[in-house]
Amino acid sequence: MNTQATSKPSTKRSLASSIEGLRGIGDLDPRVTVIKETASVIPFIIKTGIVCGIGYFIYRSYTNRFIKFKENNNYPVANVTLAQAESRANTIDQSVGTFSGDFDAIANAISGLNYNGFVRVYNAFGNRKSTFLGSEMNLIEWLRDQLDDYQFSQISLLLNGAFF
Amino acid sequence: MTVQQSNNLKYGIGAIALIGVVYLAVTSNKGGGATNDPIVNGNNAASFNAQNVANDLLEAMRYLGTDEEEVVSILKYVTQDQFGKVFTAFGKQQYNKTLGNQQNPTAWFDELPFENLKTWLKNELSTEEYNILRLKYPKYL
Repeated sequence: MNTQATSKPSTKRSLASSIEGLRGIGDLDPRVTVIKETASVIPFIIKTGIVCGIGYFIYRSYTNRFIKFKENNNYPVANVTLAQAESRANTIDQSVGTFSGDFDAIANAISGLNYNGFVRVYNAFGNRKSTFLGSEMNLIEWLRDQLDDYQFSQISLLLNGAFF
Repeated sequence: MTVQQSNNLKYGIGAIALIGVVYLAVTSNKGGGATNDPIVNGNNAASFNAQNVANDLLEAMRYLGTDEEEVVSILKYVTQDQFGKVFTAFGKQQYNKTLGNQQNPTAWFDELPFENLKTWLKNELSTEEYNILRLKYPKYL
């Protein structure tokens, strides 16, 4: 098709009067071509986004997974049973109120543990959310999140600074 | 099988069995408790000095306005047994319970009473802070 002829306004008007003509103008108009090319990329971008999103989710799930502490056989056996450790972990978890945490309850649950006893409580706690919308945290992260620096240092004092 | 091959087989089995026994002996220390527990027994025995800790505590508490965080910091690595030694080393120090220090406005009239570490800590710390120490040192507080 002669491009000089079609570029004339009168020719465009006559071509635009038919569907075939509209297609002809579309094929020739660089703006339409650009839009078509741009639109053709959108599915690729969406697919890439989905794949990256799934990959990131898997990565986050892997890196945020709970890794248990191992009991140290060189130290005395834990001074709490697994059931007691679970109970203490639950007490700590439930000590968070709507507006403030019950520090005394946390301190009581942590006190009196030996090294392997704390390991059991830590493992029983696993990863838990401190608030409804919060992210999951292990016991040490949870304590650091819920307590202020001074309270955190007092909990550390109870554990003789063994873990944090 | 020749005699030589038979002997080699016996020696091989014997060596494997010996390695297995040694391995089991080394790794079977389940909760033996040979090493001191870092929470119960602490791991600062070499550097611990009860008199120094007692002096640091007195210094943190003797003036107006106790540094509670300093007290917690001083006692962080002190185990219950070690605290017993600190308690003894602290002994009894003159203490003005009303002012919370060692000032004596009526020195011309009478001297300040001598109080032990328990009384000092109970007066200088908040109830919550003192309760934390009680959880750690139930034998002495």
